[in-house]
Amino acid sequence: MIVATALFAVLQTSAPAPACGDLDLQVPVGLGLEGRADGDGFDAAAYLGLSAGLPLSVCLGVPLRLELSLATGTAGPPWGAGVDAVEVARQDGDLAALTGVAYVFVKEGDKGLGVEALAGPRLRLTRVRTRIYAQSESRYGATVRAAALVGPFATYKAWRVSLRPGASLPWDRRVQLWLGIGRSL
Amino acid sequence: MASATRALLVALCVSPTGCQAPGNVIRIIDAVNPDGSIALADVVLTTLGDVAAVEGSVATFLGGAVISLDSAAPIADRGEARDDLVENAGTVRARFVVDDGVVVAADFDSLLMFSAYAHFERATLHLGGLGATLPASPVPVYFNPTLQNGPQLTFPKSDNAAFFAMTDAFVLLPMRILQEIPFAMNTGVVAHEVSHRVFYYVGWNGGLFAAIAAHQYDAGAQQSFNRVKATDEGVADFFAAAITADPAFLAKSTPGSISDARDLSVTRVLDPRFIAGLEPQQDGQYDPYGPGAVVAAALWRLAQDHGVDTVEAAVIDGLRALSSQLVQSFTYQFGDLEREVARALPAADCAAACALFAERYLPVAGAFTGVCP
Ligand SMILES: [Zn+2]
Repeated sequence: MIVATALFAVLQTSAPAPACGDLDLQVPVGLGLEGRADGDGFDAAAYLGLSAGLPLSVCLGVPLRLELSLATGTAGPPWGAGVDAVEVARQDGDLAALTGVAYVFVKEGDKGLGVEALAGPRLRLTRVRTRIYAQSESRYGATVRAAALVGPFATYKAWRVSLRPGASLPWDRRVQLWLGIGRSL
Repeated sequence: MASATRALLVALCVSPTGCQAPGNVIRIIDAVNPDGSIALADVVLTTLGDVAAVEGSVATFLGGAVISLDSAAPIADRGEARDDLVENAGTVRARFVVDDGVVVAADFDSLLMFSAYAHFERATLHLGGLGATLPASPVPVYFNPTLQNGPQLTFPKSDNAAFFAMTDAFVLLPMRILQEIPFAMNTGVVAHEVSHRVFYYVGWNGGLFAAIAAHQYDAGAQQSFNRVKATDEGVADFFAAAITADPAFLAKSTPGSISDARDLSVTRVLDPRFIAGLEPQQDGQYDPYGPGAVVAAALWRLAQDHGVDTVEAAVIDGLRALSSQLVQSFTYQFGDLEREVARALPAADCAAACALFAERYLPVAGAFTGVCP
């Protein structure tokens, strides 16, 4: 129920958005390291997302931020890894509702520089496609973890750029680094 | 998408793996069809304790191991020198999703490990049920290890699976050249390796290296050992075929140039040149697979005529009967095991077995004296 509650909270908060602050949309792209199944090292992974953020500093007077994000990603080639006869491919779809501090510590005219730390529940829907010769099937699974992102961000006029390392709890043996480019609406 | 929707609904109660904890129903690559073809199948792994660590009472998978094949390293029986030969072995972490109560591997290595565990479980329980006693503790399975070859002892770095008696453990190597069903996913190949461990514990009574140390300078010791190795390979192929009901189990993973020579359904007779235990050779080394294929094909024929279960049990009994000869005198001639198999068969089957062996092992007909007319 945490996800549902968080989503509800975001939707409610977004109603008075004009009075609170400018909603921003970001397109985060990410790189990651995912622990290999054999426990020996990590594989590279790539991610792409879309997130909507709402700064609450104007209406609440505190440097809070709410963010709802969607992301997808894959470790290894999206069409699968294996041998000619057998391949396994995995794609993840993440839905996260994050909240936390976005503190601006430098503000000069149109420019700002700050640091943010966001955390919240993240629902991951995973699709696994397994192929044996010409036959393939897809199966699905879902997990909920707590996700956390922390890093610097910069603003210039309506633009917002963020760099966020992230991980989740319980740790799923993956670390992510997101570069987000966004714009206030 | 119904499956995806269900997964989504399930996840709305908060849990690291959704609301469904991973159970013991695992989706693996298995030989399930009557024609022996390989497909995905849901199996219940009764011995698997920790799904993510691929760890259970039959086997424990370990990753990142560095295995030294230096023949100067200390060697002891029953895995007692394992810690001297293996470094860095760590817990594996399989990735999976739980879909409608079924654990589904979420990457290729995880599918390899789940499938291999299932095959280890099946072969170990099957052979144990025939009276092959193995140690109670789970056997290590080194998954994708690094092999450091020694000057005299070399092993390929990929495309192989093996029982390493000197570590009393199994090794599963990545498939880089062969692109068909990986060995770890081939039920028969894993059963073949488990059979080697049974040969070690039943035929050698877990004392191979002590026997080698005691007899390595005996006249003809190397030739006897070569003949045992060939017989060990033949027995391993026989059990693999018996467990999969597929005399061509190897063809799923290797090209015909390799698997045809080991197809158990082919009639094979012992070449007189094999008797001395020095031939055939490949790349200057004794090649046990040629004579081994004769052993496997004879046992398979016997099983077709008298029942697979009956002959499997007779082979285990035969190994046990042979054990004192192997360990104490370190001598072996082709036909020695088959003689004990004939002795262990029900009396009604013995004469037919003797007739078959007389035909297949003509150059060593004397090996059957005392059991066959
Ligand atoms: Zn073998």
